[in-house]
Amino acid sequence: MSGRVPARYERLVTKQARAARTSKSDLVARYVIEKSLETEFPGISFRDSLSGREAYLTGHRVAVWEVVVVHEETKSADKTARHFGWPRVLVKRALAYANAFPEEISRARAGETETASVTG
Amino acid sequence: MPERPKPHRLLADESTSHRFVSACRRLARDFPVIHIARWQDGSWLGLDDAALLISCAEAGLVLVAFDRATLPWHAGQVVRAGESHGGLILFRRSVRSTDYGDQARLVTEFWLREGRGWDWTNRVVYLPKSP
Repeated sequence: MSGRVPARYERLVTKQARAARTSKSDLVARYVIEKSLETEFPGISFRDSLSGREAYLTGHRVAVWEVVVVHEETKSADKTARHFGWPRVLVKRALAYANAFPEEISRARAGETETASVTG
Repeated sequence: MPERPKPHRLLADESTSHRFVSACRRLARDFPVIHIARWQDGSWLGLDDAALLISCAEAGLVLVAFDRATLPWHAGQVVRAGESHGGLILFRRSVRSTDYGDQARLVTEFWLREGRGWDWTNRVVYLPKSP
């Protein structure tokens, strides 16, 4: 896959790659993948987490794996929606993404919960 | 003269439920917790972890959340960057996301017994506390 971008955007990507301590090609690949997923799964965005990039609900602070955890406990999209105080469609969107990428969600969940501190 | 409402001291993050906040109020009337969706008309919902932690410090709020590795990591990053956070209360993995009664009992008992008297700047506490 290849494409052309105006020089000012290439400079921007170069700067961002340097800040992220990655190569320009890896960063461009990530942008293409994440933007295509955001288009395919409306309402899903990506952010940095300790275990890597993480899918979350756009405009909210909740990761997809956190919706999955609550849904496993409630076993119901309606009850999960009530837990968060959201319309049901947001839960359905999170679950649709989780169903499409179960390994990614498991990895994110494990990374966030199994590395947690036990001191207190 | 009517008593003034007490200022909020605890901010429940979005991964917690409104039902947790209601359960706290059932256990302790006027318990100073508010859900992030109701705080500042929900305008803090879109904040990333670091921005939320700094905003909490500025507003004198302790953030209550489930233990995600990234949140305490961001708290450390905030401190290393020379900023402060307003404190974190994190539910351990043993606390179920939907056990609102258990969450409320843990937070209200801890807060009323000792937490409310602390300086929370840059402090992180896990509930239940270690024996």
